[in-house]
Amino acid sequence: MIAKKLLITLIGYYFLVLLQASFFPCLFSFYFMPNLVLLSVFLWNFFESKKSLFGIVNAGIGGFYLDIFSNKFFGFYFLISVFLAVIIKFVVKNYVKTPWVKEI
Amino acid sequence: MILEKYQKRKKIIAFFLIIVFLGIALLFQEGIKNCFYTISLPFQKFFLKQGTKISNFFSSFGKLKELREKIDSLEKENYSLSLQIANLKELEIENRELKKALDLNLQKEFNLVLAEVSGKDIGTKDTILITAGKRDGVLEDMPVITPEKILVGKVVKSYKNFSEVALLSKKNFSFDVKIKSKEEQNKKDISAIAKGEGNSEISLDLVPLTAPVSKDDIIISDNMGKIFPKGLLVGYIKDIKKSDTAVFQKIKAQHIFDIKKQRTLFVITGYKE
Repeated sequence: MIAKKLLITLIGYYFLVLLQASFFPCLFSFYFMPNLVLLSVFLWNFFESKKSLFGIVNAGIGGFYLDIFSNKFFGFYFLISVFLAVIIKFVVKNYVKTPWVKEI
Repeated sequence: MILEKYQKRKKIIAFFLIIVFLGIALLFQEGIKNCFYTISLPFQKFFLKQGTKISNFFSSFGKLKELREKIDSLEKENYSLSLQIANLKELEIENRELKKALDLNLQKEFNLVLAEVSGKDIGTKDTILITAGKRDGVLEDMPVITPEKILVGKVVKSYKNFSEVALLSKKNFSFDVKIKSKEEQNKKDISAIAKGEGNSEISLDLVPLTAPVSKDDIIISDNMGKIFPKGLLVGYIKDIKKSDTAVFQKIKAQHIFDIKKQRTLFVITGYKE
């Protein structure tokens, strides 16, 4: 199950990063381009089961891809997305209740 | 108690593994990036092509009114250009003789390396990726131009097969330019410092209040700062603001390069005498 999730994440984020680096520059201005990977990291961690820690691994993979396709130092996006995932997990665990959402 | 201890140990190991992974990635980042860019190139080309198609499709709807206005203004411009052509024909004969001697074209002026735009850098605005790198002799600070002699920017980082190019409009990027009057060809060029403002915009600095500058004047590069060769097209003036309290004019310009329209670029690797 985890292997399947990991494979989907690896392929999914690669696809999102490619979209962000090649497809969106043609449609959006350089300054108003959505960061799909960070958005996905946020959504995944928000709706994921409170007990699961896969969201943090997921964030790490997303951040790693962003680091590859940006000219910032390696680890910049990795740390940002992992930090984002940890914060969301903490907030969701302690302050948010979403009974209508089926946990992944 | 034992379980808690085991969990804590697991977390510490995971933390150290991440640090080691990041360290290794930092050490070999050039190789990793180059490898990923090479694998991704066909996909990126495909996405760029499809993105341009979709962008063109939607922009044609929104620009109908604009297009009609443009046709009107172009018709007017056409008349005045016809008049100019008549005058230029005389100059053409003279020019032909000069061209024979100089044989003006890009290959004669510069040593060039052909590259294609492969995408946009995610982390930094106004930075693109091109398919030429150290293997082709492309190094940092080399200027990048289009086949139409439009200045695109300069190489800021070169990998084995790819390079990152900072566009002229990138924030905090400055270089020397000259403003050429569009109307009067005999007018003296005005020197200025161009600064990148982001989002394809450039601002011009150090242009005195008395300098005769008007909208749509053309901006060309100058080689005073030895950054770019002179005479390359940069953009045109979009907006001018004059204030009595300021010493210089506030000028905004538009960079002509458009990632949606231009795929083939040249990197200037050297100059010919």
